[in-house]
Amino acid sequence: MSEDAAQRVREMVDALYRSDSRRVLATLIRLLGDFDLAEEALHEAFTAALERWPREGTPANPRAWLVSAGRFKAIDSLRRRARFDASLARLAQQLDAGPSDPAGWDDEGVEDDRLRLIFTCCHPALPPDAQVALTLREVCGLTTEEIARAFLTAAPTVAQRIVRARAKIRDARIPYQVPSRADLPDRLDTVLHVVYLVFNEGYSASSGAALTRPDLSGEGIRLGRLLVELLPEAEAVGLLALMLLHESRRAARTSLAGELVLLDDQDRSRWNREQIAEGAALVARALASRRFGSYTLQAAIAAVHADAPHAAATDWAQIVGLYDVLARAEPSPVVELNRRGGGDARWPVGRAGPDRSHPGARRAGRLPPGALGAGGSVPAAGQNGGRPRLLPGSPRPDAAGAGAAVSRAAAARAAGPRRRDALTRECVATPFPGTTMGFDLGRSIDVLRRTPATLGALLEGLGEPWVRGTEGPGTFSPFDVVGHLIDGEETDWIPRARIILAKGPDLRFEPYDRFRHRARNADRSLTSLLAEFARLRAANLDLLSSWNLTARALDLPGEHPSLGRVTLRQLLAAWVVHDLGHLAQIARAMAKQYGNEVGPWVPFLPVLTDHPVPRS
Amino acid sequence: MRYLCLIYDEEKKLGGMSKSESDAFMGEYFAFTDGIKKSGHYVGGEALQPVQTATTVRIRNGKVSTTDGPFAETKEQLGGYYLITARDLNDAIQVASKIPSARLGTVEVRPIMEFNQP
Repeated sequence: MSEDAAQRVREMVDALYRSDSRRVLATLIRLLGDFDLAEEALHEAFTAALERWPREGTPANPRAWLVSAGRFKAIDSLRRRARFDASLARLAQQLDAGPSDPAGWDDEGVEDDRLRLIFTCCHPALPPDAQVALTLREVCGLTTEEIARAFLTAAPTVAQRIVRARAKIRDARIPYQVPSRADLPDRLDTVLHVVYLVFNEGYSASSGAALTRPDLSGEGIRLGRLLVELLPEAEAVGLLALMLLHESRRAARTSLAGELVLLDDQDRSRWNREQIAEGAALVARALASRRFGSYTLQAAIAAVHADAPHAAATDWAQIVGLYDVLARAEPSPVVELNRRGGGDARWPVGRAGPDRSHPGARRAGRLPPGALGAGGSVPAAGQNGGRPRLLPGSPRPDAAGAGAAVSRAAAARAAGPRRRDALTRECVATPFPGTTMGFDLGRSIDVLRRTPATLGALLEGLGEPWVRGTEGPGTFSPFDVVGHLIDGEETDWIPRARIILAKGPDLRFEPYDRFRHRARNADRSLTSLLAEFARLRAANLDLLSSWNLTARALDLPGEHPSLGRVTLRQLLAAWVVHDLGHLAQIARAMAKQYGNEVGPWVPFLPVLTDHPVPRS
Repeated sequence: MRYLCLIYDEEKKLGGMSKSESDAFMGEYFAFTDGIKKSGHYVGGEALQPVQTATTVRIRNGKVSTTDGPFAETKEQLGGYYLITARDLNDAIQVASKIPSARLGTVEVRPIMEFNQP
């Protein structure tokens, strides 16, 4: 064979590797039941093709040839290794007894394998960062180094995530399956979330010098397309639309100096019209299916923005209508924040964005008739089973303000303990500007002593709506806060100080049960709670004063159940700040009772929006 | 493949149940156990006495140290377990999700380590 012909075969195998290696891998994983074995077999198969095709000619169905060769190589390698491990011999025998006719693996079966691969990489039993890494590795074919570079992580960290995930798939026996109909909505949620995380990491890079990393956005869109091709569910279509519509603004989104340009200020002539057209068509398709959810709605919002020739021409009524539907589909403070346009510089001063009273705010605008179902409810709302799933990223990713920060913090929460730890560390490492007061016991007691009177003045005699109103499900009302402060007096601050001062062998604190008060105070009146708190606080402060703590005593350590080593000084300082924090919380919870009544003033009243995700 | 389903409950929550509530809860457990016996998943299972009856034993510096209670302080305590046999993790998750305590507490599903016998 001529050198030329050999070169042509090499080029063809290279091209085949780029276009089909993931398909072949997906099938090999099913046949061999093991990711590592399949990867090894994949490379052996391509090596064999390079050796044999120049001599024997190119097979009629190269993909089937590669699968067959890979399987054969794997069985062969297991047999060779079986001399050292009897269990491998059994495995080789089992595999050999399986179906071997490559012609039986039709293209439909191969497409199923790709879907199996996606769902397995995004199995909820795997940690979220591993889902992302594994998907990029196995489904997109990125190398460990490429993934590490994209996420600005060390390559060994990514490698370890992938190794652990593969081991868990094998050891816990995560099946290589497309989920059943019943499980599909939840499992698809996880897959879509992974795809959107990949896209978002590229679109609004959470770290690194550049604000965007186009490579990852490209992978996200590629994954989105693959998913729509394999499983054209409405939300998969909606997510692809959302990604395309965001991507269309990429060029206009950063200034020459590399700074973020807000949507209003973007040069709309630089938007990618092709992507906008494709995105808008996909939005229409997803909406027409009547099974859409939050991705589709966010895409619809992006499509309305894309439709406006300049910012002032934006159809705000339509956008508010869509946010209303979105808020009903997935109640989330971020959605509410965006709907009202609070906490963000998006709406110029004097034009405080759309609000509930905007004429036509409820109008569903250009949605297909009946798309929103009876009473404007979203047919897909039930898909999440009422679970307050986080919106993946801000519904308005061009907002550089509070919305983006909130969604980033929320994403960190969603990303699990590892990211959360990083966030906590970040918080601890951030110095608080303008604070120069050192700890002083007397000055601490000054504040602690007046809290009961402050609470009394603020709350005593107010009606139930003020006292019992919360910031939303799962958050404290002022009444709850007083109960929680009583719990602190009885179980937390002084008992913990005693543990420290006892200097015993066991310095560990009891965990603070933040919900002890719920059952304890069910039938109590606020007046009796306030009186109880005042009594307990006075007794505790008398006790604290009587200890005559020295500077050395303040340095004594205790062991917090989750924070680890803390000093008595830190404990007492935290007591003061805890009081002040809950006073602020009471003010905030009360303020939010009028959140819907202040109309256009929302952007000037940050108490309503600074804590869009309050916790109790 | 075998999986151990470790059941973590908040004992306070269970203790706070009225007689009829707790009877109903136990009834659910009996029905669940019957169900997985019929489906062939059941291998074994027990409920544990409350955590106050627990003792932690360790040897430090060659001496046996015996202390009251569990080592870790958590809101939820190990309250029982089922040993099941399942096709794969999805099958095991299916079974675990039907354990009555999955609604109130937490169920941890752990695959059993199988050692190759020589």
